[in-house]
Amino acid sequence: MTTANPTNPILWTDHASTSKRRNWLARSAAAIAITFILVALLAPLLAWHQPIVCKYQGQFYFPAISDTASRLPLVGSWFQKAKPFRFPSFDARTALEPDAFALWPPVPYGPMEMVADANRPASRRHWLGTDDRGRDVLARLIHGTCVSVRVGVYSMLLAGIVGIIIGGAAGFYGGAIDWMCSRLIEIMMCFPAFFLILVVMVWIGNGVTGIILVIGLTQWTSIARLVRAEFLSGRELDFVDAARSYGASGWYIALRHLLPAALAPTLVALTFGVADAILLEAGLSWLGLGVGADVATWGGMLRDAYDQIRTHPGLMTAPCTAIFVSVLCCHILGEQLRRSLDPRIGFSESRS
Amino acid sequence: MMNAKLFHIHVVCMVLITGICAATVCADEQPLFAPVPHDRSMVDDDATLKCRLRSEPSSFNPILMFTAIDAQFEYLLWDRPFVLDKDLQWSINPDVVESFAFADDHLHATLKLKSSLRWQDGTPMTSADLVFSWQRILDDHVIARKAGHGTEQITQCEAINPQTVRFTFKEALATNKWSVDFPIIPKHIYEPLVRDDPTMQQSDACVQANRNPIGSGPYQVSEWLSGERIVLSRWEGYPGPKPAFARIIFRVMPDNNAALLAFETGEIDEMSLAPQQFAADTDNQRFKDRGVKIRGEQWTNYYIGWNTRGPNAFLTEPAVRNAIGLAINRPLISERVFFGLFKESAGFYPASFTGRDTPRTSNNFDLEQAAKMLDDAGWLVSGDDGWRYKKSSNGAEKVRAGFVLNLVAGSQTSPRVADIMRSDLRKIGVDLTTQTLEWSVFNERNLNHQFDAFLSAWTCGPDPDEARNLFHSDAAQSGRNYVGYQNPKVDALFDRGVHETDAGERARIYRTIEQTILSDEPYTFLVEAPTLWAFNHRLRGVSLSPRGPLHSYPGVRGWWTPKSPQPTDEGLRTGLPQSDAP
Amino acid sequence: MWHYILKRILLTIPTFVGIVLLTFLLIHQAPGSPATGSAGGFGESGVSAADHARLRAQFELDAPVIVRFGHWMKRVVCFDFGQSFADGRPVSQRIAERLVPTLTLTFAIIVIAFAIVIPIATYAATHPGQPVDKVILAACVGFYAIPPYILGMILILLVGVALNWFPFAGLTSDNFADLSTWQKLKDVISHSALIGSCFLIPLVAYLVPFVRATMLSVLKEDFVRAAHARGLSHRRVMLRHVLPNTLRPLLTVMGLIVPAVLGGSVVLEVMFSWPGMGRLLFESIHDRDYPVIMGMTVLTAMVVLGVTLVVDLLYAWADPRVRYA
Repeated sequence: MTTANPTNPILWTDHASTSKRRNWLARSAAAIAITFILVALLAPLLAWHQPIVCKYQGQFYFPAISDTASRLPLVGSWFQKAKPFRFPSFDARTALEPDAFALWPPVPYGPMEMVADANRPASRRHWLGTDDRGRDVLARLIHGTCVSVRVGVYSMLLAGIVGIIIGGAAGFYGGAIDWMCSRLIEIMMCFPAFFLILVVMVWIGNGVTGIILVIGLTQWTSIARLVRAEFLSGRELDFVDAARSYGASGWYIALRHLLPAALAPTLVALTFGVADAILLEAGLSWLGLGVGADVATWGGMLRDAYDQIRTHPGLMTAPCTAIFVSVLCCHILGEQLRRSLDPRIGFSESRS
Repeated sequence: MMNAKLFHIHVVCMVLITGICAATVCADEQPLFAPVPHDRSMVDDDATLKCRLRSEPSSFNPILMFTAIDAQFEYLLWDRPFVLDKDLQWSINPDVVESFAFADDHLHATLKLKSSLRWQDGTPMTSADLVFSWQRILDDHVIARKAGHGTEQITQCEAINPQTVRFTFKEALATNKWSVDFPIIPKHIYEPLVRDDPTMQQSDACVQANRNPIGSGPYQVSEWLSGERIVLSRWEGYPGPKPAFARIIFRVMPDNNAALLAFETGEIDEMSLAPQQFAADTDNQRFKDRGVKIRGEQWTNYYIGWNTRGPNAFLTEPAVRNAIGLAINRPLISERVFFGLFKESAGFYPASFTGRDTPRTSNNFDLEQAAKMLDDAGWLVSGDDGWRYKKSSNGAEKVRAGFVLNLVAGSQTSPRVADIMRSDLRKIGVDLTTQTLEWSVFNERNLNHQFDAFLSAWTCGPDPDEARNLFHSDAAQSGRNYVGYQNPKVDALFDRGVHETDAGERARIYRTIEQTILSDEPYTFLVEAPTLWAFNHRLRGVSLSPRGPLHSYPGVRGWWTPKSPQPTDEGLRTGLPQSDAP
Repeated sequence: MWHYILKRILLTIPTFVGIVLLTFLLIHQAPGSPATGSAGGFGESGVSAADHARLRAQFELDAPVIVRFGHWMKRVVCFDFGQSFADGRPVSQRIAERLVPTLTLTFAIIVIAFAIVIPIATYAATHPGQPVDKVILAACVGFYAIPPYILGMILILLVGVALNWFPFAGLTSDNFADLSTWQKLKDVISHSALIGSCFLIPLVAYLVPFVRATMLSVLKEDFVRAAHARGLSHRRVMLRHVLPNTLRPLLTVMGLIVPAVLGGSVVLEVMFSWPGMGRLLFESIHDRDYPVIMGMTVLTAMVVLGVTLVVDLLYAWADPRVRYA
């Protein structure tokens, strides 16, 4: 209680424990999570086959920066790279004059570029070595972060939205709608998810979007159950009755009173869900149903490493560590959120 | 890609298999190829052979068999009058056939079976069984995917006496000798069954008969534990030469890595190796103590099929396909993906089919030439994004030079091939994207001609005419000509080739076909895959055919192990594992 | 109570029909068909147009989906799930031979999981924040985060090959039929040890933090304090008061775990050449073996709904308020 941080009450307040250690753990987990997100957003600035800034034929260019900008969600399409650097045939490494000014990313390789011999050990040029196709492992790891973060965040966003709408409708309206939604939830829980994967893969293609849809559309059931339960119990509370008595509309009550109460446990479940989504992506890759060969992913790296587990077991360490750290982060954050948001735990633990 | 089901065809080559093996195998591995000695006392007659199965067979009924897995059992359970020897040559099985001869007009043939033949229940095997089998294969209800190949060329099949059968053919074709090579099933078992179920695979009785067949070969099915193993045991009443193993256990092991570990612990005696395993994973002492790895020529080529009549205008021009062919770095693919074990494809026929002596040189990797060819064909880097474009024929819109390459999900090698192609094609402004499709969907797209390009493998059959199925325009609707290749010249050549009986002239015809197709390039052939295999040290009598060691005759029937003073079944685990230090 | 049970059972019927209908529609609408799946497996020359038509006729592929559903439903009502497209055997037989090992393994894993989880979680919950507790939690997340195929491969390489303690392929030895009952049992257990551990480790890693958290909150309850205040021994308090209250929420979790473990895992079963349900479903999907897929869907749905039902009834039995809600 003493170490409450006023800036972000949800993430940092720790009523639960008087120990500073736990707070430290949660902080570092949050810091790592933010790092992952930053790495995902800024991947081309960290590892790319074109420089961040360079002088080419007397002019300054910012290829990696414009690539970073064009990958941003929503606004990405506003940006376009300058001309010679945009061309797929343009190789900055050979085209730039050797003494021309160029600031390269710390890892000057693209994730799909075959730049060296296969299975090189870690060296000064390739900090984590190269994989079986001579691609830089660190570059792939960095760009794999984009996919994992996108898969984790977007799929859980999708699951959250679907879950809140269906669970909320069930809990708020009750009666026939509740009955139908509850059946739908049960149906989804028994449904062979594998088929959905196949169908989505073929209809949408096995890109990142496909994986996000598959995971989002199969993982919403637990959220829906949570939200339904919260809405059901919330409906009976006095302040909801009070709101109703002074004529508040149903939507107002749902959005203003019931939803905030349901958001807390949903957020906790979603945080844990991100970890599961990352693991699911790895599992799908093993079956060859993952994101596909055009994109670097942690699951895909692990799958490639599995083929060589006998001769180069070291290739597994990078993707394994990345998966482990991200899952650990999600769990610590989820646990911390749960403790901060659950007054019962907080209260009873602080008494002890 | 090298899916078990992607198994096709037989072969006819004069490759000296042992010669090839000598080149790739160390001296201490030679005993592997030693034939069964005349002195049977040296042979261990009670040994158990443990084979690996990738997946389970679909049927033991030889008429219904069609996958490569099914074919592993074919020669063990069934005797056939004609067989493919280790060079995949058509040959008469002397243990079954008393005599066989074509009439001079090539429209008739007479086959005389041996009188000693028996079914495994003791009933004699006669010409009536053969005629019955022929009728079944041609029956409209029966789906004889593999066994039915060419059988429709036989217009009449009559039993002259219990041992003699007379065949009458529609036409005098060079391929008639393949048409008489069909399996024989016991009439006395199946005749009552097909009255109720002409398909032979739907009624319970038929399913039972297909799973526990009364065969004619030296082995009987004694156990089939679904998903785990199939056990064959030797039929001691077999009238022909007795095979060496008393039992053959087929273990179902889908995962390659796990199978290799099982090989190293002696759980299985043979397995086919992935290139990665052959080149890298088998270099440890544990493997060397357990067995040897060998490699032999195989008539399999990896290729990309281009949809020549599809919606993607980019791929419909032969010049474009030639340019892409030039832009594929085959040496790098061979080195990086296949560990230098695969050769660059020189064509799609084995050299013996066409008398080809020099390897093709036009497919050398040359990006500059490829770019120039694309420029000449009108595909120019005209947009401001660096990709090539061309005005479509009606001049209305610009078409971008790019295509989607379909890959089969789960393949280790195909994404790696695609990676190398993509990085080179980018350099000349051609955009390659890949789509990984699950097996059934991959096939459906191909059958419906809904694709730009696909990566697959094809194994050449024992007769050059079988390639008709890929290139003849008739095959576009009901064959494997998924790419929709239509060339009247090639069609006419195939029709000539099948009627030609002179070997030299046939070779010339198929050489022309091969050259025409390589220049039209409806398929771009990438690399030629060898057969890579691991065998336990104790095995002898193995022969490698251009289809691997299992799919030729005598195949596994000729394998044996020498008698050893120690108990032989050291790998057979009883209960808890014993220590089996080498 | 009987009224509640009846109501609860009736409620599962629409869910059941919904699952079956939805799965049926989706698998028949999904791209690929049993005829195209085998079309690639051409022998010498491949499937002729006529053969393809025959295959389609044999698998009833040309009839409208709803007609096929009607036919299927009609048979299922008489407990006939039809024949597998892949090998012609009855679907019930194909599923049964895979269900037995999977069911046994599931049961064993859950029992062992409890035997491991409860002592560990109890220790962690009674020593919250101490180094051992932290190590336990970190180890749990770590094991949970290892993809099963990596865990499987490590176990095969270390325990199966290097140490050679357990076999890692198949379910039984080749000489299984000749063994005595006791040896048979030993044989199956040793064959299932490694794959069982691969199921067990993530499960334990998932359950320990859960049980620990539940137990922590139970320990803070007033009745526990009261029990301590009454001077009961620590042991007695834990066994009589804390454990029973911890196990109740676990019941709900079991409702989720049983179907998941029962569904098997393709990845692990392929790796260990183990004949379980996961591989059967995967292979059936690969071959588009509709009858087997539907048979497994019906079975899974029954198990999930059954377990949910039992859990709900147990709750209702324990807490009368639920019955009247």
